[in-house]
Amino acid sequence: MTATQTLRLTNELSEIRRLALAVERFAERHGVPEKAAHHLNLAADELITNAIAYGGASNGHRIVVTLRRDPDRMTMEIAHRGIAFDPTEEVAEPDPTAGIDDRPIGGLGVYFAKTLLDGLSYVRRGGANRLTLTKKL
Amino acid sequence: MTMSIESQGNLAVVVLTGRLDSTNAADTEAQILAQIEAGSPRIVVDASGLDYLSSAGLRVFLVVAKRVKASGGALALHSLTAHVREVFEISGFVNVLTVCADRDEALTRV
Repeated sequence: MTATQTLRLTNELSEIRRLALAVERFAERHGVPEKAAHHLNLAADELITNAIAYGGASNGHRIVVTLRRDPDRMTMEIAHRGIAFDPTEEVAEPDPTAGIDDRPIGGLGVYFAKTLLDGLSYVRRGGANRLTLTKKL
Repeated sequence: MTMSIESQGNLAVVVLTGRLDSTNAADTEAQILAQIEAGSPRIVVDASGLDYLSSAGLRVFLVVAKRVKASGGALALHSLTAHVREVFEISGFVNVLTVCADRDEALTRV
């Protein structure tokens, strides 16, 4: 049994909260643990914030998010038109031993997404960036 | 998110509730930095009601920590929720910032 839900977001940061509420409700309805839903939400927040802030999601284009619950996993596909941008290529990991003065301001978002998810993949198809976030259950 | 600030002399206690993310990080940072500029370089953050923190929010604490250090003060956070603690652990910030169990302990660390 598979359940899906599609949301269309405008390219504004405030939409991340609307998405978060929708994900929480979807997760509750389909028996996805709260912690897994939070991990998906945090990863999506980081990736969508990046897409909006760095021009991947251009003005006037919607960001289409598809939630999907399969027996063993929940996935989220984030698709948006705009310049090709593959966040999975960013590999910078924070140095856990670095002191306050050596910490860069930024660059943690994609690392969070990769750490919290069981899978993060990117494909450019049909003029759109398509990210698939996977959380095993 | 709601934010309240109580200041006493050179100490400010900042109570954060709800979500700290890319939508409100800049505003939150500006308000805390204004406290430091106004003469309160000792900052205690009560995070007991903060149930969501993204990397944009985490960045606020890093900026504040650097600023208080430059001003001869200190920053301590206390009563982290499970979600927020996880973000601190993943990023390694738990080793960089002062994280305390409760307000009493935080007050002794700033």
